Amino acid sequence: MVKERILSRANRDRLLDRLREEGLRVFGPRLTDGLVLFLEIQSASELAPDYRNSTRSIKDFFLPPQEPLLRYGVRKEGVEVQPPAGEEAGTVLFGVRPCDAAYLPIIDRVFSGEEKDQLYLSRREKTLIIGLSCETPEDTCFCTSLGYSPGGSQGCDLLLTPLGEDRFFVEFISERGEQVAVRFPELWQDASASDRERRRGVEAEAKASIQRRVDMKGIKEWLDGHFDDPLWEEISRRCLGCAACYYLCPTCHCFDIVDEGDMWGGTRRRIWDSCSFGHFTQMPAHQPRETQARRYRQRIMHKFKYYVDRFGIFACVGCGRCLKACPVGIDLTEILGIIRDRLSAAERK
Amino acid sequence: MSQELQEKAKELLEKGEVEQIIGYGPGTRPGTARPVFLTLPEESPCLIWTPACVHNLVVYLTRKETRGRGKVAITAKGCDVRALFVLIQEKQLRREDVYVIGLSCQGVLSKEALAGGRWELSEETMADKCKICQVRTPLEYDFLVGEKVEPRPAGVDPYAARIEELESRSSEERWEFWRRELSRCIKCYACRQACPLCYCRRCITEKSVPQWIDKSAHLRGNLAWNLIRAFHLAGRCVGCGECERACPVNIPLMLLNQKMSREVAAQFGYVAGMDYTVEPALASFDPQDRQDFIH
Amino acid sequence: MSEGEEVKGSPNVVSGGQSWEPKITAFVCNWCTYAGADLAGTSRLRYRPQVRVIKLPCTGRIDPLFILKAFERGADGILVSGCHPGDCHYTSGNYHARRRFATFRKLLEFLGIDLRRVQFSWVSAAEGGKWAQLVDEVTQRIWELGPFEGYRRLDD
Repeated sequence: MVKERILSRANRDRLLDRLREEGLRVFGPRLTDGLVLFLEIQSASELAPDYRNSTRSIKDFFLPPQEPLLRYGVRKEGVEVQPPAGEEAGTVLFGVRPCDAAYLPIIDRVFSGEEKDQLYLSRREKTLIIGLSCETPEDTCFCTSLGYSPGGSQGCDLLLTPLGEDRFFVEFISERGEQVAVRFPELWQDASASDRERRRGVEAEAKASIQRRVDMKGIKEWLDGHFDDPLWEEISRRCLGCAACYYLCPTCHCFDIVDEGDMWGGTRRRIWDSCSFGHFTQMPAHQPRETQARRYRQRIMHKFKYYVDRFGIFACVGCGRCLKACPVGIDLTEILGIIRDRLSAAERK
Repeated sequence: MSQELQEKAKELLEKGEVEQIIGYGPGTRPGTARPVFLTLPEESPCLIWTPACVHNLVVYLTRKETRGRGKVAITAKGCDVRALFVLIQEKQLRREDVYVIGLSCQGVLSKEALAGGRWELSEETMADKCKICQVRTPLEYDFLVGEKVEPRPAGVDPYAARIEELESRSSEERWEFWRRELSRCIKCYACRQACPLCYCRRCITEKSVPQWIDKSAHLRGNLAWNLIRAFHLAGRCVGCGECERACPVNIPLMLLNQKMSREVAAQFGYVAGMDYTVEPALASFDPQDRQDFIH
Repeated sequence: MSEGEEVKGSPNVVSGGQSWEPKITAFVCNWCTYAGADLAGTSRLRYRPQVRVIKLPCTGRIDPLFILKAFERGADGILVSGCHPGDCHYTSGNYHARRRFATFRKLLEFLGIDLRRVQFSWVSAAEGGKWAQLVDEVTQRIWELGPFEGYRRLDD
């Protein structure tokens, strides 16, 4: 039974202060250089007004664009290897949209499944996710098509849903979330039945306002059987082969490991990589993904077939960042819609 | 104008004068445009020409998917044709390989206007590059859509003011400015991939033995990448602005590129993409070039 | 170098404790400046030892990327030197280099790099004295400017 409370706006501000006073680093969506980014905030007043979603996803906090894995130095006595300095402080991500939070259970399959990625896990354990339900999804949002909701709580420790200007409905989702309830008992008020109903209403309205919809039924099966379909050439013709959509996408997680240094010392790092790059699958004697069409196919296949084969879920939360970021207007929902049309045409026969 | 364009495209494909046409079609988000690739005459009604047609389609001319598919026609604004000129100058294409459907242009929308859903072209919504445009009628074309337009009369140069302001700061302040801007870079290479002049089959960043440019998105790697790209474009960049438009984290790339193109103009009297019969500035020299900075 | 000292050379490990000496990387052409430096040596001219010479066939071979890389690897100052215009062993390599560097230095300046850390010069095979004097001047200048902290602090 998820604990429910009401949090006033003033108390929300206090909550952030309290968390910081405990030595946690609090990050929230801030407006900077024309972008909305999760940056450290000292008070709630720094939060971006008219916040829809952040330009970059919270993936940055769990799989940063680059991170040191070890440092090495050559001494007279021998080679010395140092692990990277661990992050001491815990982190709070405040104002995470449900689509972003939902990415965490998806990516846990890879980073916390058969193999445990210690760097990822240590961050996961030290990060509190305070979700914020959406009231006005954007025209690029399509979370509902993937089974998520603008008021969904997957991946959240707490979920706040605005009830008007100065109150939030709070749900304590996880154990970590419940601990927050216990640590600051003075901040919460009781939630009434009408509060509960209003909270459901906010979610329902937001859901209804999402225009962009894809019927995902049968998509995976179509992908199973159409590896060589001419569709891949058609839809990828305009693709420039950059990594904008991959890097802003929360569920994309390919990385490379590089050594930066020389004979005397250096750093081994994990860095983002993208299957859109021409050299991603370059091998000495063979390049299986010679064309952009094959590389684009990989994107769709990984998210909507291979991930399902492996883990039973799509690797997409419908946040729509790919649509916004693409310089040449590639639209993932259009592509899924084209596949859908083909399925429907085949069914009619 | 769209109709004139569509009819011409249909005619070119029907007569077999070209095998493929690269143009603009409507995007899936209302008001937007995006590149389209036609091979059949009946596809021509999808072609549009609006202030949302910001992309530089010349980027597709050096792609393997375009080459070897027969002659190509391309709808091109003045800035796009300048990029084409540089490709011809650098022996990447021959003029006769491309049928240029020139687009008379009063300006296109800025990145902010497009993001904000403002589709009307005005001084306020116009891209910065258009405010200094001297090629509102493309310098060359095989067919012109629309009437010829005069170059923009001299007015406010949005880059000059910002460059001057930066140059008036101390070098420490400038370093801090670029540290801040470049720290956002995520090495997605959208700038490179959107640029018609970044056509190297293997980019310097892809050379790994040795790794000249760190692939990591830390400040050292970001600085190396952006600095070298700016230098590789010096004297070649035509100011189409695609790099800055494509950048998902709003790095002011045009500031760097405009600074360099102005330097080359000032030092060598050369502007890229205006005449493809001359030698590019940094591929040639004058025995009388300045050397006051050399001891 | 004393016992147990921190590693040298890598930008990722800061040298601790030792008093700082400038690191100057000199990219020089084989036919003129390198020969000039050699002449300085055979003439037993004394000059500051903090310069590291990298020999290339011609200044035309010097990619501005080398300058960037030298800074990344801990150089505090750069010297680029080759044949006088008209004397290039490959006829025009130094002319191309001249244009390239005239452009590149403006980019460095715009980014906020102090151009006093980058010196271009022409030193012929006969100018052993000029080489020694040049190295002394540049080393002194860099000593006064101090370590190139901007690049040192870039990592992580």
